[in-house]
Formats: sequence, C-alpha cells, structure tokens
Amino acid sequence: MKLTRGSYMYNVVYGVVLLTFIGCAQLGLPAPQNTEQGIAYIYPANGLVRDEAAKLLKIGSIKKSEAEVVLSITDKVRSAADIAKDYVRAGDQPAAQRNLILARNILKEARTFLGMPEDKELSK
Amino acid sequence: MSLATVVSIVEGANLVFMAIEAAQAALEKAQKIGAIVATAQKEGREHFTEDEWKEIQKTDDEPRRRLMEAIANAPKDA
Repeated sequence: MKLTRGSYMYNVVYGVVLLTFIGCAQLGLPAPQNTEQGIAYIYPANGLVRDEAAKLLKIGSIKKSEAEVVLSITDKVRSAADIAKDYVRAGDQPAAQRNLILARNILKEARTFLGMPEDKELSK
Repeated sequence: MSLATVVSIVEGANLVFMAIEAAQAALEKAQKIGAIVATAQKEGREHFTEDEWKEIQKTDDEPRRRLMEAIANAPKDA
C-alpha cells in the first residue's frame, strides 16, 4: 500500500482514522433542547470543517483556491449562526430557526465539498 | 526491509498522528460545547451567558485563524 502524500490511499487512511476518533467524540454529547443550544453546536461543527480544510491543504489533497472557497463558505455559516444567535436572544424564534437551518445547509455543502461524511445532526 | 517500505511506514505513521491530532482537537471542541450545554440544561436555563457564548464562538474562531494561516503559507495553485 503506497502512502504517498496526496494519493488516494493516503486520503482514505487519513479519513478513516480521523472519523473513527471523531465518531467517538460524538458520544456523550447532550442533545440540544432548544434553538439556542442547536445554534451553539454549529460553531464547533464549522470549526471542524475549517480544520479539515487546513489539514487537506497542508497534505496537498486540496489546492489553495479550494481552501479559499471553504473559508468563504464557512464564513457564511458563521454569519448565519451569529444572526441566528442574535435573533434567538431577541426573542424572534422563527427568524432564529430560519438562520439555524440556513447555517446547517451551508455546512452540509462544505462537508460534501471536502468529501467528509454526512453529519446526522446537521440533517435533523 | 527496503528504503521505500520504511518511507511508506513513516508516511503512514505521520498520517495517523495527524489524524489523531485533528481528532483530539475535534474532541476537545465537542466536549467543551457539550459541557456548556449540559450545564445550561442542568440549571434549567433557556439561554447561555455572554461568557459561555464567547467560549462557544472560540471553537470556530481558532480554526478560522488556522485555516487562514494555512492558506497564507500554501503555494499558489500550479
């Protein structure tokens, strides 16, 4: 098995190991009971995508321009999450929920772009 | 054992270490938010405090900084 940086097998092995540990990380997390808690989980999920893009860029699996696209996409997720947070604290639940759904949908697209597996929490 | 095999093993080990490092970072982020959410739920609070929101937002702020650094240090596309 040739593990040359940037090769297909390299990416597969990296992905499997990473996902195994991240899968364990999902255990024991309290499920969100309201919109504000749901919004809170968007931030680390967005951070995870950013870290994944940084790693893939460093190992040569994605190009600089692609990483810039991910940065732009995850910035949009962050904007939607921040807006949702402001709405929920202002008492506007429908607007908060709309922006939370928007943040989740954009995050799903970012994960797909990087070849990350589906995050079941984002599909709820 | 040939040199190519040794290089492959070292590359593989490096790959595993990188994945573990990334997973540890993800685990820390997840646990931090999980703890904040669990505390709010236990105390019956609908909202997080400002300090709790700052901690929550840090879980995205720091990865953003790292991604921007990685982009700044990456060579231009060929």
